[in-house]
Amino acid sequence: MIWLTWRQFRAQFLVAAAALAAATAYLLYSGLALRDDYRELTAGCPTGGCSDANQLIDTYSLPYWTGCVLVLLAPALIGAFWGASLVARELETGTHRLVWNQGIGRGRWLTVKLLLVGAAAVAVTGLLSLLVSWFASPLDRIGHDRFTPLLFAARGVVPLGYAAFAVALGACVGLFLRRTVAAMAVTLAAFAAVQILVPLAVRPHLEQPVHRVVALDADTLHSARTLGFTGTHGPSATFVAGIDMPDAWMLSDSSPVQDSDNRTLTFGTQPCRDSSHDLPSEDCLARANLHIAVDYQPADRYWPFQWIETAIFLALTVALAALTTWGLHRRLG
Amino acid sequence: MTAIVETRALTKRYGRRTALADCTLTVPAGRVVGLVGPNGAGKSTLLQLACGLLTPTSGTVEVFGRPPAADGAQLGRVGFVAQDTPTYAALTVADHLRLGAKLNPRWDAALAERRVRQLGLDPTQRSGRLSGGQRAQLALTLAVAKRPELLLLDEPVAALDPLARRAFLQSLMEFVAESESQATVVLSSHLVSDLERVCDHLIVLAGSRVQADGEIDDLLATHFRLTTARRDTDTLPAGMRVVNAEHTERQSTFVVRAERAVDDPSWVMEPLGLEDLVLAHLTADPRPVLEPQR
Repeated sequence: MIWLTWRQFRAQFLVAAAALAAATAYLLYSGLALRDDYRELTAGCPTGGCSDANQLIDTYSLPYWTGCVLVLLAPALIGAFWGASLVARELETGTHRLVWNQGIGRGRWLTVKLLLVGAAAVAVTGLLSLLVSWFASPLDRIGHDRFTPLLFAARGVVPLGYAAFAVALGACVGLFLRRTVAAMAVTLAAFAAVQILVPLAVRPHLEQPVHRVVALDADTLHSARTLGFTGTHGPSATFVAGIDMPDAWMLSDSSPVQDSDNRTLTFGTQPCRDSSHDLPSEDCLARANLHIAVDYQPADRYWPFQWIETAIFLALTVALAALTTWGLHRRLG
Repeated sequence: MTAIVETRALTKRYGRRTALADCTLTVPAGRVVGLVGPNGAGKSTLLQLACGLLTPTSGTVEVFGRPPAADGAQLGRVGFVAQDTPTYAALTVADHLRLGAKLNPRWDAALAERRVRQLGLDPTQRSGRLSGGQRAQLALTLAVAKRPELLLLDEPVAALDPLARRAFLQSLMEFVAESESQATVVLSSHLVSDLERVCDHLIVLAGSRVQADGEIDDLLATHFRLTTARRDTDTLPAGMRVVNAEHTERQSTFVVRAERAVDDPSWVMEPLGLEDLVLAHLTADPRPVLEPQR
């Protein structure tokens, strides 16, 4: 059965291996150049950051985003092309009626197929993730943003979980739809839905977010991501500010600014009104003893979150494989 | 007589559609059994139930006294050639033989290779580029090289031209002749002429029910066409069971089942060909006419 699976899967696997080899060459080449530039840059910089560090991100934005997109897309494509065709193609061409009457049961047939193709999917995605994580690590040290939803999914071990899940999802959808093309489309759509839903609704709650009150002093104000007014234009517009914390995942984009009595301020009640500008001056605000409350997942939870999310996806993979096995005996009976 | 396949009140429904109803029959050992019936009669369903591709809605089916496809050993004893003889289009003939060798513990590699040679198949040819007849022969090769004790074939020649049809049935008979302990074969078709040549036992399936079941010689010896002046069906003597009746204004024609021909000056009672016999059963009263098991 291993031989047959490999014989059927060979062409698809070689295509993926070729794509992986091309990506490896490109990212290795760019990554080595990036490391040279990074060393040059940090050598002339004081510890704690360099003003023109962000320029490095701009210079390498093409390989950087290519890498991210590759890691994000790989499990989806694997699920559609490998997973969905795994069972659906056999049902579509009727070859299941040939192979299920050889001397092995259909349970073992599915197990071997899922394990082999699943392992290949995890290996390919794992290598790609390793490569992209390695390439991007200098830029992540500058950007401090690897915990943000998009990059979190394109680094570390979670892509392995996604890949295994995508194969099981594709096989399961293929079994129930029995049409390869339809199964590919549904697998892509379902996988995309999960990938949108998880960072929005699941990942923020893997652990209780940290709630903290941050004083808006001169430093905070200077490095604030957002500072301004939202809502209806006029005196009642809410005064909001948003800040970044290095390597942490800020769950609140911006929060209402409050004064020392915990009153939420508006355009009309903020203490530094200046008729000439919409925005109050930072100097004045820094003296006004203001603060905001933020919710975030701190930087040291990055790896625990990676492992937890991987485990969740592996559990989903097992559940889908069990459902597929059940369906193989029930639905096709 | 040992039963190879035994079904009791076997029923298969797909949603509200009944594909096979209340089917009770026995396939005796060492026979070549023809399963005949119009399209949609339940032939495929019965064969797929027997090889374990389908599970019954109710009733039971047993092969060698056990549920079909119970385990690898059971699967190894049954060869199945599915309708339209599916093969892996991207795999070569040699790949298919390798597949059979890897998946079947009792695989007879010499037999498989000899057959491929005799058939003149190119081992490096992809099966997607074979003709229908060649593909059917490849599927048959896969099934027989397992050295099955029971070989099930679902309309294997339906899509073939007369020459390929003949060659296929020839191959099938060679397998039956060569098998050491006389394998049992069940072959379905909607053409009686295909079956007449190779089968010694016949099961007629129509309207998802078994209409007739028995040795072909017995069936031929006990079915008659009876032509008389017009008379009602119930005026025929006891011991004759009417399978099918046709009346014109002056004449009645019955197909009856009886132990022997009865001489009577008022009628002509003559034997029936197999084709007519089957047709009579197919156009019979839809009420099941179950034959006693022998």
